[in-house]
Amino acid sequence: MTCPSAISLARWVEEREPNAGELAAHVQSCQACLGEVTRLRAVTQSLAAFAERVESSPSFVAAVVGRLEPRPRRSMTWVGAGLVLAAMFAVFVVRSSTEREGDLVARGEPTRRSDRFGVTFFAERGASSVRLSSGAPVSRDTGFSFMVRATQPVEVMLFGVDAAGQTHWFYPAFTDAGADPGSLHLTGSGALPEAVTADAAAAGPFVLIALFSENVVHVSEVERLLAEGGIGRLKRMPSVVLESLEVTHE
Amino acid sequence: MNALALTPRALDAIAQPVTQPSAPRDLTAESDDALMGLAGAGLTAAFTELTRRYERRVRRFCSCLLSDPSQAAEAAQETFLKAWMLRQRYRPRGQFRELLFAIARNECRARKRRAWVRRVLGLRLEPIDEQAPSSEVIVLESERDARVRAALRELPEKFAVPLTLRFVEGLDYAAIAATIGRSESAARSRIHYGLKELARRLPEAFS
Repeated sequence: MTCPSAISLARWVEEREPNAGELAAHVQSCQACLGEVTRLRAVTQSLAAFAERVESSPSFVAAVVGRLEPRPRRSMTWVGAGLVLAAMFAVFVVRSSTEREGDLVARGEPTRRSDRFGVTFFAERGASSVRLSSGAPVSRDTGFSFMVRATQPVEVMLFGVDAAGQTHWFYPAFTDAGADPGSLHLTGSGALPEAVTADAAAAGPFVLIALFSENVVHVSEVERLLAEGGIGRLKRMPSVVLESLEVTHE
Repeated sequence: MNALALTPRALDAIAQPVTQPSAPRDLTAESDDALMGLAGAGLTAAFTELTRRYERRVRRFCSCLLSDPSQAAEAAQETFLKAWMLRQRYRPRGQFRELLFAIARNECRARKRRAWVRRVLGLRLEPIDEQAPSSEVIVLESERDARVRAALRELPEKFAVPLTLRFVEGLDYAAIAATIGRSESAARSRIHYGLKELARRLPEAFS
């Protein structure tokens, strides 16, 4: 028997295949393969040994639980002051928003549709595209495609957030961890060129999001805001329109 | 919005008054799904039990992926806080453990990415000893084992995560596949290639 490949030996060590008698016999008689198997076994034993070296930490549990509790309620004085400030801010926003053109203003509601910008989400099934509706099931291999409409030039980003809170970028593509790509500049309506899959999305609710912005937005900014306060934080970005649709990753 | 589906057992548990101090519950006997159901209904103690149940494993997992012990501890904490935020959207399919590891993997990935950006921009304020184990978390680690873990952290994530889940956490292929969002055969393949690659990166005299 010729020497098996390193990957065959790794599979044999990991799975201890019962019907691999020929390979076992070869390993016993071949110094090189025996050395490789000994090495692979030492690696697995070393990793397994690490499991025993980490001890339970009551202080860790206490630290987590301490952060679960709701923040203490503010005193009525501060609530009153907050209300006054909020009212002043609301007056300012209403006045300033009536003075500007277009509708790229903070909306507060992600799914309110804009007259000027919008998106329709599709799933590629075979040779056809199926328009997605809320709660629609999608598989891990589903390719998402997007039909965007814009009656004036606008920046757009398309991404999804899975059940584990992970962001999956569709447009712009985000394949290099060291890059920080910006939004796409859109000058009209139409289908974006490629269907994109969500790589290794966690099973469960998957929120597809389209972010339209007056100014260029970068991936890092969106991820920072998502980390700070989830999708709710994105809603509060100034000068953006958000549209979202929740589907279900099987 | 999808409705939260709960098992009959969890519904029974929720039906009981959760704030009544005179009716203590043995939460340690509850399943993960039932505890998440209770947490979703407002019982913080149920999530505390889940944290107690999995803290060691999540801290260990993060320690395998991140070289900075304080980053690993923070990633583990964030993992539980994100799971807590998902409590009302959680679907009881017997995969809480997999969900937790998936969150932890994402958290570690994000921290690695941020560390890389800081390093590139020259913003890293204090040196990080790549080999240093956390004195709080790890006891009596041999030089050999430390070397294996250091090599593990240097592997691409697609290998490091399945290897950690398999050999450190002892998960089966199905659980690993669910965690990494791939098929069982893909998970198995990554374990084998990862193991081969990890062994290749260690010194000749390792075994």
